[in-house]
Amino acid sequence: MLGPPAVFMLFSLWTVGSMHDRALQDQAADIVRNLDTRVEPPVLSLPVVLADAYMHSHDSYFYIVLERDGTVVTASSPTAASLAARAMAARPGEFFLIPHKGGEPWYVYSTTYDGFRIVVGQDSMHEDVLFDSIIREVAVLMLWLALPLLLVTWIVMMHTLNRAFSPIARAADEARTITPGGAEGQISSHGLPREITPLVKAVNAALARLERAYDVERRFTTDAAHELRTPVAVLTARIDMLPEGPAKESLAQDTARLSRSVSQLLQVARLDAKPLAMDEDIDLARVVRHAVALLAPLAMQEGRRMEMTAPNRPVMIRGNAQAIALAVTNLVENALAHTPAGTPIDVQVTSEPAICVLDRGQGVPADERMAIFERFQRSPNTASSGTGLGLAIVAEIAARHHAVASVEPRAGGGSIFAIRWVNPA
Amino acid sequence: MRLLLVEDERELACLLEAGLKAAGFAIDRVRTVSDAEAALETERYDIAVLDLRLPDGDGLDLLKRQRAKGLAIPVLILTARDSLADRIRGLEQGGDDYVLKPFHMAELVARLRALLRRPNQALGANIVVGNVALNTADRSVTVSKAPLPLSRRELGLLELFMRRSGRVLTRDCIERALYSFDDELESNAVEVLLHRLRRKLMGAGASPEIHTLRGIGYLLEEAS
Repeated sequence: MLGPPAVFMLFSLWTVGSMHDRALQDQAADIVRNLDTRVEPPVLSLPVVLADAYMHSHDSYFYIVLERDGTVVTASSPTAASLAARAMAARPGEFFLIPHKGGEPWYVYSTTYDGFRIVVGQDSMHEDVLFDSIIREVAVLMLWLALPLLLVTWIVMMHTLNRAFSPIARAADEARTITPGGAEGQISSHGLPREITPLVKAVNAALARLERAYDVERRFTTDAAHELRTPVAVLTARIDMLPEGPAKESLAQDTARLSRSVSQLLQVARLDAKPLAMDEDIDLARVVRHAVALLAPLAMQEGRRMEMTAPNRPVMIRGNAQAIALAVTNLVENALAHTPAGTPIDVQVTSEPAICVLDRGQGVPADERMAIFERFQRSPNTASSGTGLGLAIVAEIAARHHAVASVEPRAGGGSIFAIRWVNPA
Repeated sequence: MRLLLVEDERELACLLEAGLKAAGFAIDRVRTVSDAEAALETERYDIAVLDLRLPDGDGLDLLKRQRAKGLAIPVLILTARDSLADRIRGLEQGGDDYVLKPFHMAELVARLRALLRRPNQALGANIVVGNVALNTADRSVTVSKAPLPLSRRELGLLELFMRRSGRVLTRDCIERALYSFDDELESNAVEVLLHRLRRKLMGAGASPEIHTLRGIGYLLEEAS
């Protein structure tokens, strides 16, 4: 583990050292290049930029050009000239330090050219700056070294993560299948990372609590069914025992209405308590025909003509056949309850797809057409029996099938109650 | 006809007993699963009416156990549980019919009588609608006591209607009851058959009529 940083440090230090030396050699070469020794005494004519740099460097860079005997030919500043004696003490080609009063020592290099001694130096403070440039240089190098390493790390990491997460994906699949009242309702913690087990346990505990609450709800609807239906059954049986007469007839009608209310309340409770299983492929024509067939004798007893039209081909939708049958039953019962005996009721299944129940009643006023599908909403204009729940159930079942329940006026009088699939999936 | 009534709601049980007695049944009334078991093991009944929610257990468990022990009489389940799942479970576990509370006494009696004349009963039974009678044992039909000759299919169709008189039969339902999958079926076979049966019934002066509900189905009903 310590290998790469140690190598990096050593490499950097060596580079810093060597770059420092190279910089001084470059600096000396600059002086040599611009030194004209053909004239006596030799003339140094530095380019303006370089001369400027030396002038404003406050002796952090300097140069001295000397005769073989140590006489100063030219120097970047008087301070530089004063260092001549110390500079001459070193051999040409050597790197050495000269102490600097009140500053970092100078790092100095000297060389000979055409019998002259060239001495250059720079403040060692400039190592910081150098170091930065080296870091940059090294970083590029390291990047090339690191790329394959990164790639390998990435591959290993993905593999490890995949292995670590595949049990989590499986747990997610399990969670996706959980429905209220379903068989299992728990996520198994088998194979999951230990860190996640507490979460899974907590989720399972929460699911168990929800399942219990759902159970209570479900038991409530069966208990309510029993508690509500039994007294109605007693009442119905008692009325059946009465001698025939107008009183018996109206009592029978009252209990029939009570019985219908109870049924619809239970239907609503059951719809609220549980999501519908929407996994059947249904031929609407067939389901609607069977629902209508059960109610047709009632219509005939009231002297009504009842007919149904449907396309010759099956009209397929995906959903819950029992719920669709219930919605159709409620629509037809609604028509039976709210339109006068003897008027016809027609049922249509179209390939739109749509289910329509058409009556010849007095129709529904425009401002009530929305509200009529809300719970416990009844038209104030109709005196006839009804719980105000039947159409709300229709609307709810339609919505669960991504369809819309509506009522429209019918040409020639009456209403069209419809369930339409606006955007069939 | 001896009938075992298993119902724990005292008032409903009293009313049922009175109503069924008036319809000619001899009634034994019990309130619990254990009493019902004891009664079924000591007495011979022709039919039973069974509530599902009983103080000491579930009626369906009782029915399942008794069917496993060889109980062969028809059992009518009388219950407040109305979901399709409950209904299917009831019929699968040995119930012969399923009547939902509240019910009309007349309907209950009619259903009980229908169960008692099931063709699997040892003795043939007469099904009567108006002045038409069908004997399920020797497969004969009379209208006002005069024999009415019918083909095998016509008789099958008439039996279907008479067993479910007052209820609408869809064409699907008739096709499924009368024809097997292998039968080459003309698209209008059911209509043709219905037309012939209707004409023969009218010709013989039958009081019930076959009504057509366009697009829905057909029903046999006493002309009113």
